[in-house]
Amino acid sequence: MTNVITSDEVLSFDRIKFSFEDFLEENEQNLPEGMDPLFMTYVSIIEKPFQNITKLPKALRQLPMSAVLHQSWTTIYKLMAIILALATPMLVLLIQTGVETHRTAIGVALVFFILIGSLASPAYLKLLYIILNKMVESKTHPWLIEPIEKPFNDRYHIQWNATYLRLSFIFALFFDAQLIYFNFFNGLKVSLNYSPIGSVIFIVIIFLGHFGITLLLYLTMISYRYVIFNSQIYDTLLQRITARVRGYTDGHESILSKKNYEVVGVLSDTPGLSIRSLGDIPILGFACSTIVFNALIFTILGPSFTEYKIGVAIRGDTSGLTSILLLGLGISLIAGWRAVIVPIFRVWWILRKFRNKALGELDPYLFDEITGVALKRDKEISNETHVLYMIRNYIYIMKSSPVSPIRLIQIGFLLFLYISRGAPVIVQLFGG
Amino acid sequence: MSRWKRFLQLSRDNLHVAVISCGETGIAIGKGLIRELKKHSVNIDSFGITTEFKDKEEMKDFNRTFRIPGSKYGFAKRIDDAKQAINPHKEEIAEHLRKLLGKNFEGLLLVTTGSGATGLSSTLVVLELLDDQFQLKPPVLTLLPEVFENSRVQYNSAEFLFEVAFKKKARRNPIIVLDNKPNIDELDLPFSEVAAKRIKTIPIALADLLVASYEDSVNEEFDASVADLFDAMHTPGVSVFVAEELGKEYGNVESARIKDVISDSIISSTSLARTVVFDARGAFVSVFNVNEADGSISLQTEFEARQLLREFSHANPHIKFVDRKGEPPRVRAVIAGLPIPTRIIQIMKIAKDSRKRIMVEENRKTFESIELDLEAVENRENDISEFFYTDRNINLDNVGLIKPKTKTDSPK
Repeated sequence: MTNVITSDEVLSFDRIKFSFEDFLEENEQNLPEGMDPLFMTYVSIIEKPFQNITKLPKALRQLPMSAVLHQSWTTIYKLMAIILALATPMLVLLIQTGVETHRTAIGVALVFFILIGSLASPAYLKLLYIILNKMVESKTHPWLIEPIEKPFNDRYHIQWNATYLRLSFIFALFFDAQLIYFNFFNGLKVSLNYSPIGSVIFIVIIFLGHFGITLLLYLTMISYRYVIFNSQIYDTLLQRITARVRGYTDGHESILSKKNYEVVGVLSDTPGLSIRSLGDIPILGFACSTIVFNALIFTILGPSFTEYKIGVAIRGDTSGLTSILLLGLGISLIAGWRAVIVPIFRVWWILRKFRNKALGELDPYLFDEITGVALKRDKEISNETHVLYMIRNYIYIMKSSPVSPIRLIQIGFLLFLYISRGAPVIVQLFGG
Repeated sequence: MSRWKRFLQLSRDNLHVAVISCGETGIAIGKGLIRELKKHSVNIDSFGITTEFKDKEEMKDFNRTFRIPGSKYGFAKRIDDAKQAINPHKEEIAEHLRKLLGKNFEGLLLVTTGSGATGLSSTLVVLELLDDQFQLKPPVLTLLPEVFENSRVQYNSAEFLFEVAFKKKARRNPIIVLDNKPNIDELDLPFSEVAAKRIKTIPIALADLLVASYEDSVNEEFDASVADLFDAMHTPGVSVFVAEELGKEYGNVESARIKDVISDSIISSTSLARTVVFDARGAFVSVFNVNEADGSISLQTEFEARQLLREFSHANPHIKFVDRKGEPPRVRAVIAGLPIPTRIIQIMKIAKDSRKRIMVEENRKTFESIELDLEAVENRENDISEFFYTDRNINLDNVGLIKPKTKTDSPK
């Protein structure tokens, strides 16, 4: 059973071979991380982040993205509360810089947009993980889910990204440098006008705040990265639906085939059959990328906005903030154009064609059959006609686009309010 | 056609069950099984293989027993030692099997074992003899170890499962696993209690299933027979027993979602994903006491039973509704030929990592040079001797201990 290569040397791992090892290697990939006892230790650490705060960085570094996102909303809130608590001193200092430059409202608006973006990032990551995981785990539509299983597993099973973390650290240094420049070298007396002990405490808090800002930046960058990942996954899903109906719309296949019924099921207007979240993925991605992009820009350039003139095009006032918000929207539109907007339009076009063609074939036939009975040409409606009529009704109520128009209007309206009125309202509120 | 169809002709009185129990845990499961089946007046014959440590009183439920010579205190979970000890006695065990099974055994034969060295190594010998000499491949009931159990236990279990079920030329006896891993509602219980619960529950569930399979179903459409149960139990691969009470956390008895009761139970003992639970190759489900007062089953129950039929992608499950007045409503099932359970892969992984680590550490110790301060050791030895010899006036020579050294004797 156990094969040990014997010699006088010290035994090592490589020199012991158990009979079941090859079998284990073949099947090990099916072992979820949750079955690893070490993994469970890390999960229990992040479940109680306040009590295990010193062990938290190691646990978060070891656990894959999916394991963190699999935790309850409460755990995610707790983790977010720790990051925000770390970042608070720097955000307060940002407002203080605004106060010193007599631009308090701008400082508050900046902090507001940074906080909104930071809170949106984990919420987006968690929501999309729930949606995609549910899709992959459900057995209801294997033909649709099969091509996204591997990309989903690959992308959500990655660990802490060191490159993004280094980048965040550098960007946070840039944030610190601006704060220091505006506070100390720009002729303003602000922070270090305290006792020596107070100054030391202040420096320690700023040091911690730097890590808080780093983590906020990291989160926003990661969620932006996942917006791109999820859009690609979504594109695959839409392509799958499009390819499925081409046999009927462009080829010579009959509407009465299992392939077509499956598409009708996925897009039907009943939660028992359809995948409703198909419509949520692009909307959430679009909203999140706009908000998160803004937060990212405001976190990196934030302190500069407390100065009146930042550059040639952007001014440190309401219009400057709104122009950055608009830029975020524009970037989201550009980023989502190829991966989401064009595929949605493509799928809408072909499904409209599919529905019209199907109803165009079924309705005259059924109408003739039914009126035949009504005019007493036939004695009774056949069982097949009953079945066809039910299929016709499912096709009639199916959605020709996976994105719900009402949801689109809701999110669009909220985004419009956020961009056009967000900055002016806050500035007016704080007397800017 | 099922080779068990002949059992349809037999009444319960003609049913012959033979149980072979190996090792301490196997004996405990076997004992429970014998007692439960005897309660239902089933004709049962049994054979227990154990160490010399077990006394006759503990083995009184078994018709015949075999104690492995030279195994007074067991093999301390060392499966290789146990194999060496048991292999020379193959012929004696074969003789016991011949007496137990006769020339042409027709009935239900079960082998029960735990995860210790005695149980697993003797089970391997028994399975080999049954296959070679009797052309029988009975199902084996075995207990999966909890993650924190001894590395040898994990290793034994991994080797055994691989040997019997997964290797290329395995005998492929059906393996019915019982899991010592606590369920969520058992997390606060001591480990020993969880293990005891498993050993107690499974014999009751199996006896329930077996006896119920001879009874008439209350619904003609869902009328599984004893042949279907035997088919399910003899499906190669890994199987699990489901023994769940209805009407507790699962809501109303009349509208219990049977498929969820079954899938939750399997997930808790195999850690398989919900999506693959119903990829099993065979299933026999007995649902007790969910019928209405007039004996019929309600529309909801019928709907749920049909839903369960639809769930299985590779098997045609056999369902039966049994009316047992005065007993609690419950589900008893055997779900067979499951995809390789993640719990088994986990055991193999733990076995590989921890067993190897311990082997490497043990080996390293033999290569480490230990520096011993001989003088200090001898001084301490003298101190101890003086304490016993001088102060208490005891002559150690008389009690057979080493002769004490005095300080003047010790080399400087």
